[in-house]
Amino acid sequence: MRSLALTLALGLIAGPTLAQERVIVAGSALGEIVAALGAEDRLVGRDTTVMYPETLTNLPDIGYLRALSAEGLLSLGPDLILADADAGPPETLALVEATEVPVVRIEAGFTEAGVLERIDRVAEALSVDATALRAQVTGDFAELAQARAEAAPVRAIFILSAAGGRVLASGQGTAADGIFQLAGIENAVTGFEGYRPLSDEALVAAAPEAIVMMTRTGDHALTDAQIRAHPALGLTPAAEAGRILRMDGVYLLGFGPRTPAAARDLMDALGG
Amino acid sequence: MVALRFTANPGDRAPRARLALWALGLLLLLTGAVSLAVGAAGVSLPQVLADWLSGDGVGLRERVILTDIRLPRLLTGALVGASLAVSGALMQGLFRNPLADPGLIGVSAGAGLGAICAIVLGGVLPFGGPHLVPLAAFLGGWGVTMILYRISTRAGRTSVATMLLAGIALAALAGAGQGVLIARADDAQLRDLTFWNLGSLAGTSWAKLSVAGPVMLAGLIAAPFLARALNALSLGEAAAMHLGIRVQRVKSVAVLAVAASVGAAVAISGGVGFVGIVVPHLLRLAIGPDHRFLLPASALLGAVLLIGADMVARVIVAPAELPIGIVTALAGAPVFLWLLLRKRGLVDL
Amino acid sequence: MLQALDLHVSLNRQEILRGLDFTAHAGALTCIVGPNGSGKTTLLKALTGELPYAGQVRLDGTDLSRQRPEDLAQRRAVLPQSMPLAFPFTVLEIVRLGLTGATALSAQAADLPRRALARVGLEGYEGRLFQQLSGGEQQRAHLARVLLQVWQPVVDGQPRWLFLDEPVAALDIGHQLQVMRLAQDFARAGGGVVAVMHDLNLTALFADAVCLMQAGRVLATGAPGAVFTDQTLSTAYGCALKVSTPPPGGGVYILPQAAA
Repeated sequence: MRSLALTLALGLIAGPTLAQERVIVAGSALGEIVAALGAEDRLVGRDTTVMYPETLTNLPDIGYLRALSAEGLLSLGPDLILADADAGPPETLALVEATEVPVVRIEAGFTEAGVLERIDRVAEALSVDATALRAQVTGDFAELAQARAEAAPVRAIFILSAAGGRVLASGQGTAADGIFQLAGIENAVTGFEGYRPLSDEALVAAAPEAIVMMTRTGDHALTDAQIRAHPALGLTPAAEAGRILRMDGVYLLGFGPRTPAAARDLMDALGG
Repeated sequence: MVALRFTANPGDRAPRARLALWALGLLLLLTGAVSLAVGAAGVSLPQVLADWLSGDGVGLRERVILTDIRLPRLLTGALVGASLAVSGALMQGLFRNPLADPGLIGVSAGAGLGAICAIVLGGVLPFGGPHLVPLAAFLGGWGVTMILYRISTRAGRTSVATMLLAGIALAALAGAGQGVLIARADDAQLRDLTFWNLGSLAGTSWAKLSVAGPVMLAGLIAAPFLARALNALSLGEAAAMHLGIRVQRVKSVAVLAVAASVGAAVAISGGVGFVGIVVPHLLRLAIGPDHRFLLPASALLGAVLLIGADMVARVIVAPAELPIGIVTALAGAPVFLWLLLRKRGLVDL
Repeated sequence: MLQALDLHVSLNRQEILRGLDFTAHAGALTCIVGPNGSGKTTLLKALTGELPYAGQVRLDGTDLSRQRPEDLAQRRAVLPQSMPLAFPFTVLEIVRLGLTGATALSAQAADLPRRALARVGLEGYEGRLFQQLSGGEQQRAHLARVLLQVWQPVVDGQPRWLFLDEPVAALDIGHQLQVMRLAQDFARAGGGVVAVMHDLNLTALFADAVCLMQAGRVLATGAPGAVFTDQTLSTAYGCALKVSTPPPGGGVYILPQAAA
């Protein structure tokens, strides 16, 4: 009772200033959620990974989210920083907090509950109502679940990069593994957490029916011809059947409001 | 060189060197002041000072930006720059070759291996804390320097070709060790390592400085005591011994000082290249090779250059930052090439 | 007095000095001569503490192996054969390296390098870059540095020593004589000089004592007139040599003989 009174009193005193008007967002999904909550106009800065919706790319870029600069952040005069769990270095965020600018760290969970939890945390930090967005996303997930129940199971491998012929594939506990589960796809690679380089023999043994990659350019790009010519990838059923899929990385692995749609696209592209 | 003949005491570059030391000292103060005054956040140093002096009080944001962001960075930059430049000068004196540089001959790679060991394996060790990474980097740098000296020195003569080639081999070995650890590292550690490799002062804090700072300082303080010995050593180890130098002890102290400075500098800033080779080179052109002046002048100019490079790194793509290693490589590599071209024919490997 | 007893030195498991005795006196110029590979330079390096040895070396009564480098540097200076210089020092900066111990602190320290350079005929060379000198000039500049290190031949009644490894090798005849006279003057003033020499005639002209080496041993020792005989020299160098006496000086000179 007393704490409620205190909260109310504080709310009355600080109420109008509590709404955070100058927000920096570090983490692609967090940017999407802020925009989906209709709070895009409150953003004053974003990190390099925030690229959707496209209007957000007009904001000042604070650099890569793991190599942020304290003074760079403070130069934008923020009153709130929404940061992905990956954001750092920790010293930078500690310095920003020392100036009494709150830094809200938001964990990523690669499940339906994780996405909803993220939406709630962002909405709470921005003091906005998440009901509508929550309902919409929950509905999307329900539709996805229905489609998943009807889809034929597929074994696939997610390749993060293949620079120099070295295949970096996803194991368990990653965003890629999460989206596979949501799309009803079986991860052909098991036995380790995170991303690891796979030996040629392990690739052949995994025998994926499909290969999923991010749309990329330069060194990391892997063309269909290169996959067929690769000593191990070329031997997989995926290469023989030509079931090779490239999707936008932010869309596919972001775990934001668009995730049900991304999982659905993945399922449709590989299904049947 | 012609000007030398017109000075009061021909061949005596000491007065000129002393003047240069004063000038560099002043330049360091100036650069330091500018570095404190410049930054993405546009906090004005004079304004803050005025507020502070008039007793109005300084805002929390201004205070944090000045005392917790810019000041430790300034000090770290100065110490790292001074350490790398002095280590370069020490190495060159010790190996009696102007091309020796901790970065070129694998000492930095060894320190890097130590640091990466600590980053990746740190979690599973029963001990640790903030001292672990600088300590591991120091051990890595020390190990490589010792091996290098053993391999390239026969009967008191250092073969520079052997030294450079051994340095390449050791750097490759250290790189392989790093590779093994990187294969073990998780995705997050991996991306940290990438940025650490490029060199950056972005993660600087008082806490980190309080660990690495004293180590770098120890190396810097030891250096001037080696000056006379290094001058004598430029005649060869035997001649130095005949001049009364305890050659073996000087070598051990120099190797320790280099390993400590480079280890701590690499631990706190990652891969910052070319300071160690370019700074002593430029100074030798200006004030001559006398280590009594070359070592302190290297410390000052190294500090000035790194503070300057950090300023560029902080401001040029604000509010983001450029890794400082990119700035020093962009500025240092062409200067190094120019020095090589200039010297071609005079220096033989 | 410099005295070596039963001196053995091995390099790369090969015995270079095979148990030799050697004596040199302060006040005298002692020259070590002998064919290539006879161990002259190795002997000098052992006598100066540069090479590890078995046996005993005593310098004015103290065991060499018990001396600290900084104390030794006060009592003797060494001119090695050739030394490539690593950095662009000026001649003055090189010569000044010889200022050690008490000499460096003396009132005349500032003027001494110039005087040392004058004694080797390099007046006005202070501002030149050492690396740009000719081979002979470099050798004389090093000699000036070494002279500076033991500027007073006698200090507190104790002699100081100069060890010279082929000091005239790269010099023209005028400078050869100048350098030999310099060494002789140092000995006349009470200091000790030990020099490895190639030129037998210069040795005959200036040496007070000669040590003739062959295959890691001492073949003969004594005054030049006694050591330099047709028989001994021809044995040592493995070729026919004829020793003659010139009309004026009364010394000896050595003439090579064409093969019979």
